[in-house]
Amino acid sequence: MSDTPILEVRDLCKRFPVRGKGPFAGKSWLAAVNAVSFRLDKGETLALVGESGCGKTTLARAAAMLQPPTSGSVRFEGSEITGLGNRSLKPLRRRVQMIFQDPYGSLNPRLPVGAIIAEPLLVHGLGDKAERRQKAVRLAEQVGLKAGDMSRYPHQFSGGQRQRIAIARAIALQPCLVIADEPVSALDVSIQSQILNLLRDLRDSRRLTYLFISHDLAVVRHFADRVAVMYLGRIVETAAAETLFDAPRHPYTRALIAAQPVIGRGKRTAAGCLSGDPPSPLDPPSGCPFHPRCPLAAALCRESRPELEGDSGHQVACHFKNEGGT
Amino acid sequence: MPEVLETSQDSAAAALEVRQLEVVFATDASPLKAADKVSFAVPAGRTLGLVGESGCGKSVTALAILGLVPPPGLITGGQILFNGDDLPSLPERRMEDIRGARISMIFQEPMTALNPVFSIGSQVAEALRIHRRTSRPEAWKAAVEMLARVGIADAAARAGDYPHQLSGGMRQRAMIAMALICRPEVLIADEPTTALDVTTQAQILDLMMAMQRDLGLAILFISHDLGVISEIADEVAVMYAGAIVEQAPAGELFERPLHPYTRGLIETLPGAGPRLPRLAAIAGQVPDLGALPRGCRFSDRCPLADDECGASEPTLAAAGERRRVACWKAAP
Amino acid sequence: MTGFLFQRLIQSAVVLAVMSFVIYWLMGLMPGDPIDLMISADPKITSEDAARLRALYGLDKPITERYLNWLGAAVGGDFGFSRLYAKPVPEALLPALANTVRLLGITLCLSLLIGLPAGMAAAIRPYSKTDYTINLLAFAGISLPAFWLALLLIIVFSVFLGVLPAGGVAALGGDGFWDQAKYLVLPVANLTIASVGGHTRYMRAAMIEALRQDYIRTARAKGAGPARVVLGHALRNALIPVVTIVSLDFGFLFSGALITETVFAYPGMGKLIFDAIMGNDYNLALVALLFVTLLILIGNLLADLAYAWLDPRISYR
Ligand SMILES: Nc1ncnc2c1ncn2[C@@H]1O[C@H](COP(=O)(O)OP(=O)(O)O)[C@@H](O)[C@H]1O
Ligand SMILES: Nc1ncnc2c1ncn2[C@@H]1O[C@H](COP(=O)(O)OP(=O)(O)O)[C@@H](O)[C@H]1O
Ligand code: SF4
Ligand code: SF4
Ligand SMILES: [Mg+2]
Ligand SMILES: [Mg+2]
Repeated sequence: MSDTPILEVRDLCKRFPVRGKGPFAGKSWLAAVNAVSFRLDKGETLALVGESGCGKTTLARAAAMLQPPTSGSVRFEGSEITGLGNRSLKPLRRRVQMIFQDPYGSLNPRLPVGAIIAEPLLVHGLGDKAERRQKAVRLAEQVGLKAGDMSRYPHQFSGGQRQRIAIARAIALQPCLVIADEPVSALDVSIQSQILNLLRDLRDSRRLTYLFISHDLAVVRHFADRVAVMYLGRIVETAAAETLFDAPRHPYTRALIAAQPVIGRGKRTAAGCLSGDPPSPLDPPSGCPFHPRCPLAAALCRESRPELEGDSGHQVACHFKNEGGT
Repeated sequence: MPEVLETSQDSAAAALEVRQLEVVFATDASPLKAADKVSFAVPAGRTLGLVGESGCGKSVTALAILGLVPPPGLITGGQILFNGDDLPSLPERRMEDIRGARISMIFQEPMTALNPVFSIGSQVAEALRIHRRTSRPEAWKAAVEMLARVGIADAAARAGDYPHQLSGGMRQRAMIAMALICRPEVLIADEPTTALDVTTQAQILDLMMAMQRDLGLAILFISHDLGVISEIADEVAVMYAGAIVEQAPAGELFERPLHPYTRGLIETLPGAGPRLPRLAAIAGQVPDLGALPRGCRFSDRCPLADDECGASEPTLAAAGERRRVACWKAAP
Repeated sequence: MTGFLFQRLIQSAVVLAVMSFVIYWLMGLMPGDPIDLMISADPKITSEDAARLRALYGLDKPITERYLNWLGAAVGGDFGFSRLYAKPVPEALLPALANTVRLLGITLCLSLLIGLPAGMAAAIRPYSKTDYTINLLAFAGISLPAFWLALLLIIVFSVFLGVLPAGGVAALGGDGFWDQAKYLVLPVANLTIASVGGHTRYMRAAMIEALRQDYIRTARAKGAGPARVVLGHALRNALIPVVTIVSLDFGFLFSGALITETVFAYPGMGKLIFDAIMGNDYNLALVALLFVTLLILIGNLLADLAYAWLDPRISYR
């Protein structure tokens, strides 16, 4: 593994302007992603987890410069990419691809599958028509579609097959980084594992690096090498997957893991589930953003915000990270 | 038939019993059987989990119980026994008296399932106004109490809020308050936590269990999520392409699944054990209800399928004391 | 909610101000000015006289300055003098305005009173016989040209049957209710037939959409009967888009009213504006057009009020 990470994000912030109520209310800012830093090495899979609205999608889009960040630095293969114009970003666009939760929404319903898969090749002017068609067939076979499917339209496929189409399109340009935003959340249980296996096979055969977003901790535990837990726009804990699931140290991580239903554990006993909803990012709590819901919160937590600290393997943002077992 | 024997054993304590239910959608192509000889019983104070992939007929079964199958769907056979009555044969007016008062239902998407132009207080109170003819102020008071009971803080003030002003979890709590305010005997919950975060899901599951204890509710809990079903159900029925293929007490089902489909579903899930490079997978896709394979409906995806399976369809038969399974190869 | 209305009020005021300038400017573009008229009426006026008169009336000044002068006077309540009617503009205008408001008001009420229930009845059982019949009638109303229908009405009710007057308003002295009302019957009928089809169709579409929503299933699962489901749960939701379309439609209804007035020789704003422009009565035409704008703005404001009352989400936008 080379030393330069594929992606290195430092102090990334993304704020959205939101209008207040009433005609004369001023604009206020919603901090969707707040001072986030992480690195992603070649061949590694980093998962982002957290409740909906915590900023996972925004972080991924900002890191890929699909939505320019408000501040902070993003280095792609060692070179800074924030502030680059669309033209300078074009090579980057080739090497970073996205897969979304709802494959149907991202597939042009009027194009046959063959054309959809070949489209990125066309956009980037790669190969002539026959070559592109050949390549599209090869890609389709790699993701488990049949050559006969190439002339059919997206609506003629099931959700799982559509996700295969989206994946074939995403790998057409031989990207090195794939951002997968809830790629299996909309799929049937029996199809989820097929797609996860496919993503894993592609990772091995093409040395892909994944930024993998999911709210399903069991899927993350299976799929990711490293996990970053987000709360209210910040990373509150990050560690290798095994460490994080076996020895979580942030109270929020523990609560998330405890809330995840597990098969065969028997009926749940109503104990210690996290209360309340995440606070609004428009009006974040003082001190530690988690304190209104935290079972360990103390006076200190209301006053000062804990920094994300620890060795590079396991970082936690909690004043009491060394207390309280699982 | 062992099956009928067994269901009638349960029926003494069953708050709700469905027998050989058939629901057909008369579409342009061939008629689809969204529910094919579906039978189960839900005893008072217990939870039956109905689990299966999308499109397998869970919602249709639930709606059939309340007589709310959307056209062109029709109940074409079977019985739904509640309180000594066969629900599909009751006149609509009598069904209206049962819905929301004695059998209630909550839905997946609490945002769209609540009316956006009325306050949650008035929507909760409405059930009382319909069934108990309570006066407006009284119903409002009862609604506020009910909202407080389902864990909405500052309920007196929140009751005036409209659905868009609440979080997803709060909306689902309001739905539950609405469903339970008339103290029904049966609650049908159709994927009530699917649209929620895991943390909120846990809260809602706890709330439902607490309400079950308080009211002695029989709950039919529908979900595609085996984990959720495992945490809330006493008994589980697994549905595949319109039919129940296996039914068992929850512990036994997850410990020792008998049907190859159930086994497949459990094995495909990334579990808590050591991380494997690949997940097990069920080959193929969920079949279209209009184009089921011949013989066993799972035969085109089943690893154990042989000629016998393609020739004739296995019926749901007793397999041990409280288990039923529809498979030629399932040794009890 | 109050914030929302306040915002709309300010918007309306701005629209009115802008419109007043645009109308003023357009009137200025029309060939001829009052002095040209005087010249054509009195051949003895020399061009020096004309220039002097123009200076006297301020007509030699740039248009913005003239506009501001006019605006200042108008805000002070002085709308000028109508040459055509030889009266101050408000005095010439108000009777016509009252007639038009009466025509429009009655038509709108009638059209909604017929159209909304009809649309609802059609939506409850889509593709039933009732639905087909209502649809057929609605389309007939929409496709009949208004002026053609007007002529038909006149021929049938005035010429053949002779039961209703072909045009005008109550004669002086005829102040009984029926004397007044019978002049309204045909114009109102004409305009109502022209608009009721649209209202029926909007309501039908909105109601079908509302009845498809998840909350309708929730209401039924709660034990609500058909009446409560339709009137209690679906109606209010269905009215939200209907109010929007009806208010957008208000301008069209207005132009329909102007045509109807002309055919029935009904002395309303349509006829007044036509006469004022043809007679080069700038002051009158200007103010009349502004009042039409104002009327449409008031209509939209009422729609906003209804909208805000129907939809609790609106106050948070
Ligand atoms: N374009 C936008 N404008 C305003 N707010 C936004 C926008 N996109 C996202 N947000 C807000 O940013 C926060 C994070 O959103 P998102 O990244 O989509 O979360 P997640 O993917 O974790 O569910 C949310 O509160 C969301 O409402
Ligand atoms: N309104 C409808 N029109 C036609 N077919 C329907 C309709 N609703 C449901 N179905 C059929 O019934 C089957 C079962 O649907 P449903 O009960 O909603 O599945 P789920 O198990 O996901 O709740 C679907 O596969 C579909 O074929
Ligand atoms: S800092 Fe305090 S409030 Fe925040 S997570 Fe740690 S213990 Fe909880
Ligand atoms: S009957 Fe045959 S095909 Fe069907 S589940 Fe059993 S083994 Fe598989
Ligand atoms: Mg997201
Ligand atoms: Mg369903």
